[in-house]
Amino acid sequence: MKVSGVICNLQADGFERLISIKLSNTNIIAAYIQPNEYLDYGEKSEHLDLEEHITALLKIQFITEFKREFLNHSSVFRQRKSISPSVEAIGIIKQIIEKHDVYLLDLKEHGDIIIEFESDTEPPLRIGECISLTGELTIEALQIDS
Amino acid sequence: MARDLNPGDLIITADNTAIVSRTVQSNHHDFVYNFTVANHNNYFVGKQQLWVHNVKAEKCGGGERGESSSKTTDLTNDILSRPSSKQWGVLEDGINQGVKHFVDYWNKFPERIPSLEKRLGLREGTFSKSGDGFDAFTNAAESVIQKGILRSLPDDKKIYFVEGAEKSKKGVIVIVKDGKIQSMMPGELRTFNKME
Repeated sequence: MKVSGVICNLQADGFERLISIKLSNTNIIAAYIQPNEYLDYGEKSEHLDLEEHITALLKIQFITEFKREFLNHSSVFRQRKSISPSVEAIGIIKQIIEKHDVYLLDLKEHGDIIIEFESDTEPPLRIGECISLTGELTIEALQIDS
Repeated sequence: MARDLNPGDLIITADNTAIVSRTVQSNHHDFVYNFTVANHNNYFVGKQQLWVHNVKAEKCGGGERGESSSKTTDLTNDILSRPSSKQWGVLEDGINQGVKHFVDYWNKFPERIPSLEKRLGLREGTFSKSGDGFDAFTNAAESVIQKGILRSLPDDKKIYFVEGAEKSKKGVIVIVKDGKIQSMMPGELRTFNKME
């Protein structure tokens, strides 16, 4: 899932960043690792700033809980908690990226998103299967728009 | 609470009074914090220096999943009383990094707790939301430091990586600065190798 928007909040802690991105109709919060910049408390990032317009490739990581849905549900993609990148999603497996643990999930109107499980899914998920899950929304790649 | 204000209400300010002219409901989202001012619980806020009183944390609906902020405060105090908290760095404003990480993981990044347990080969519930859970969390970080691959970075930073117990690519990274633990997070070797 690729999103474009303005950084409306940014928290830094070491290499980790918690970024709130203002999209046209909502805000999303996602975690990001900036491996080339370690920030102590109160230090300002040289790479990211508030009000900057960015394009981010999102994925859902750290999935330890999921359920195979036997009835096809409407797609769901929402934050579970305030000020948190924790999300819940319901969608259809569209592609197997790495057998057993990395898939592309079709979230209909929300787009497609890469999902990564902590353990192998046994039996492996099949294309067309409907699942619900919780995980952390992370930024896989980020580009500052000029 | 601010939401209870109505046009015409009188508010005391630092040097005078102000009257509410209108109320506006905003859909703007932002990070907010629950805090308590010591002793008298009153403080001035904003450019107009409006005099406000903080509501007790329990009434703010603080915390998540219906849990009160007072529980978080109890956990924080429990953690700080434990010797394991001394192994963590302290921020300039006095916040213990161990407390911050552990409480943040439970409140903001709840998926990281089971993820770390799994990656470290620990049983589910090892990092329970308790002082004992924090001790186990600190011991696990120490274990990564003892067994992990080390990279030394500028400013006396050391980072350690261990492969995941179940899947090697899903590992754990621990960051140490000035001899104190700063963070423990799920991470991959390629991320570890890029850190500078």
